[in-house]
Amino acid sequence: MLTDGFKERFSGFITLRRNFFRSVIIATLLPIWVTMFPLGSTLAGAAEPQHDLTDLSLEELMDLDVFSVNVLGTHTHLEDEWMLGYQYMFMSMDGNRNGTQKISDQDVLKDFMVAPTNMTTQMHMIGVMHGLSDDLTLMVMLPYIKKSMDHITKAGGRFTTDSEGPGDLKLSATYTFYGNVKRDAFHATPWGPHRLLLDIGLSIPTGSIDEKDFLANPTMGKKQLPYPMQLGSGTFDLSPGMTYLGQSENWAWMAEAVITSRLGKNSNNYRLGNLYHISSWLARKVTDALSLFIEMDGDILENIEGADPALNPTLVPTADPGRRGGKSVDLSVGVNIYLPADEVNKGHRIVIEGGFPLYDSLDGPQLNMAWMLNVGWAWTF
Amino acid sequence: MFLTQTVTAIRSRRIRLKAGFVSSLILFIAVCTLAVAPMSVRGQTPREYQIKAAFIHNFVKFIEWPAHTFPEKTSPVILCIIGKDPFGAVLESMMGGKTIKGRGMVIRRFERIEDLGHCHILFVSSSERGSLTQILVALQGLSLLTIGEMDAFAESGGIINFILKRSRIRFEINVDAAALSGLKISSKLLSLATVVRNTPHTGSE
Repeated sequence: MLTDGFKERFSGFITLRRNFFRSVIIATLLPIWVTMFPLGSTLAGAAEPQHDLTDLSLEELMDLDVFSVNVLGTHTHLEDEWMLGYQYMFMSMDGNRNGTQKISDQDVLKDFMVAPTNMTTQMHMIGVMHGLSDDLTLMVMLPYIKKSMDHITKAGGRFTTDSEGPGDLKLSATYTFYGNVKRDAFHATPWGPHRLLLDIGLSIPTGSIDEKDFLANPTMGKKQLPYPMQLGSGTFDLSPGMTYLGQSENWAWMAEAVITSRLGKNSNNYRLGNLYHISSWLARKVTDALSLFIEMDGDILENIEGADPALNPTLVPTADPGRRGGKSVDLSVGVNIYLPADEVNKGHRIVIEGGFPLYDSLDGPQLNMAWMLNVGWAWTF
Repeated sequence: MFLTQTVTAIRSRRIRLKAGFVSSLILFIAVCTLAVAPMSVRGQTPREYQIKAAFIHNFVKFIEWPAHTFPEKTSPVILCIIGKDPFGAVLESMMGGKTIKGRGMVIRRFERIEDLGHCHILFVSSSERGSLTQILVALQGLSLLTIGEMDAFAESGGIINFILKRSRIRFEINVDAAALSGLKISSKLLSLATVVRNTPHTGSE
């Protein structure tokens, strides 16, 4: 017993040390990341007061953008401005976790007939944004989702399930209620403008919640797939949020909080858990054509209320509505590339972002994220 | 014994949870701190005013002042700013040591219109929005190029007004106000501007 207690304490110590060292590594890398850019700014940004714009013609000056640092995510457009965007997201989930502890497939199979081993999600998102006025921006976005999940059975058999199709259509309106992206905001502080945005999103259930595929025994035909393999929520979801945006000549920074609340139950007698999301990023312009950013996201997801009668929660943990919630913190870094401004490429931007989890505490067993990649293109006209 | 083991296990789990939260919290604070610190130290001048300074530099090439406003052929163009200066050090760093049509550029700043000395260009800061009419009345009859960046500046009798359109800088020119001031504006400059007249109708770009 004493030995078991010691092991438990020792294991706690190891986890603490692992978390601590992970924090130390990142806390070390962050200042390096930030302190590297004053060097970059000496080469590019800070040297700009001496940047000889007086050599430019009037026509060239009229082609320069005043606001040049921003990233994908909650943002606004000026009146009459349109943005067409495409985003590809790949997320890999690998291995199971219960609470903060990683657990093996065999641990999962002690309580279930089937254990999920890994999952990939690919999302193609097409979105359009339009500035109705300088203060009000509307957005429509439709994702096309492809999911694949590998499993292992108690008997050692392996099988994969797939689902694919459009996800839920998202509409949103973003209103600037404090600050002005135009000139007045520049006079507020030497740091540049500060803005507060109110965001209201509505998700329309265009994604399927009846995805089926062959399970371990294909002779039984296609069966209803568990919750994480479905493509939509099946409910109208409301997402009110608030965003703070700051910007100086070479920096942009953001913090936001969004709550996704499910309205009612879907046709399969359940509703996904509410999602509480906070996020912040810091972007640094390196040159007029390049900016880098670091982003941190925190999520609290509640468990599912109700249950799909076509699913057996004792078979696989992904079919258990009480094992979908959890807390997570993810960190990602990325780069924005602005294509050189000319008559053809005016307003084109490419964003590439990679992320990994810093912290997960899941109502498991649940698959946990291993890494994600995000590639986006946006054309403002 | 069982109780001790259970308590140890719970404590250990709490420590792990706390460690995860604490490390994440530290990172959030680190990111926020790093986000704010460089800005407060640097206090950068926004890019907008670098571009506007370059516009002003260019305007001098396309505008003719009456000869009597310059004592000599090489007398400098005097650029004055009234009110809160949004340019910071940009004007000096961009225009210092340069000549336009053989003339250097001198920059002077004034708090009040009553203190205004001899100028060729007057940039009226948007901090002076409330006293714009008095400023423009006080300048009537002077051969002075007035430049502003506020709504209705040109319609009120200012000569050039900067406007922002889709993140890019455009400008309006009140040709009547320019004529009253005795300034000649080149057709090239007018072709890039939105022409405004004292009478309440506007031209096109």
